[in-house]
Amino acid sequence: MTSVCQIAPFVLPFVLCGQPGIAAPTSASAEAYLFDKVALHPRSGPPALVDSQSEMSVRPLVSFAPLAEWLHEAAIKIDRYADLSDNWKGPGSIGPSEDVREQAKELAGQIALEISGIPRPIIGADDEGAITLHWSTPGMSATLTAYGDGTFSYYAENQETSDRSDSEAIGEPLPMSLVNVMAVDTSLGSLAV
Amino acid sequence: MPPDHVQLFRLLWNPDDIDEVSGVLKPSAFPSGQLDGRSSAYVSVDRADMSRREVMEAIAKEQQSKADGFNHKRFAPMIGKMLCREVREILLDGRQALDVRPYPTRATEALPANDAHCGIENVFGKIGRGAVTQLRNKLSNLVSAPMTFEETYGNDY
Repeated sequence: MTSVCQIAPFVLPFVLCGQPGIAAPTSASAEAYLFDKVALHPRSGPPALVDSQSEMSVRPLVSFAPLAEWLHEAAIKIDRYADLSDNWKGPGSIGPSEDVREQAKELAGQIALEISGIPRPIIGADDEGAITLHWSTPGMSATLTAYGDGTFSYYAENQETSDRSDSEAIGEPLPMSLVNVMAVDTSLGSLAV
Repeated sequence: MPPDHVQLFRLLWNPDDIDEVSGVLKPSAFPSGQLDGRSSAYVSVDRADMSRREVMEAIAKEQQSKADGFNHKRFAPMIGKMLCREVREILLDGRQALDVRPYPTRATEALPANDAHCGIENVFGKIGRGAVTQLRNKLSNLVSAPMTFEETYGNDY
């Protein structure tokens, strides 16, 4: 399974291809991935840009360089969890499986793509084999948990509201209620930066 | 019951539980199975006013010896602090979610008796994954910057 992080170098040109005069990436594999995972899902959020040639919806994004930078770091960190075998945290603890690791990377990629300017997450592995992505800024806090079954749960709050879900599909567009809570404070940066 | 003003110590591991860059506590430091209300499990903490360094060090040593992950060793034990009152003030859907109750332990072959031992318990009932994630988020935000044993107990040991 191809992860978002593996194709991170292709994200920038692809996103920009929604802009007039900028060509789409030439890599067929990257295009196939992004067509499937990012670009062609119907979205209910902010208005999308429309590429007049392909009539493909592309969401407006900014701050590409920092995004790619932390995505790469996040992927490396998550990959290192391959070293955590069962009992790593004590008897009965479970190491994150390959499915968990790949899905956590994909989820991180989705967040980076859909919430412009979001700082890097604090990444952790728990004793039940799940991986958490956590953000803590002066005005926003959010935790997402990837379980390896294709779903994640989340809790997010800002100074005005909060949102929570038991199960959302990884690979589908993020819930707009989550995006709206998390996007409120990205300019302030994360404690983790 | 530990009074609201009492501080609690949580044994943490760096870097398993703590972000190396920022020092922020990871929500994954709190096992979901100890918060989901589906068993009598609880999150172990010690009352700061009764905590003894030799006991905490024995617990850390035992946890380290029991961890047996391929290519991974638990590295540096640290202490995170939180207030009893703040734990009790965490709400789920408008209701109290957690309480702090005393669970003193007797001495075993590996560990000394620990009168300071308490548990952070789910008093809400069975909850779903999202609510567990919420409790972990809230707890991790409550804990002050983790400190070393020397910083916590001083050097007069």
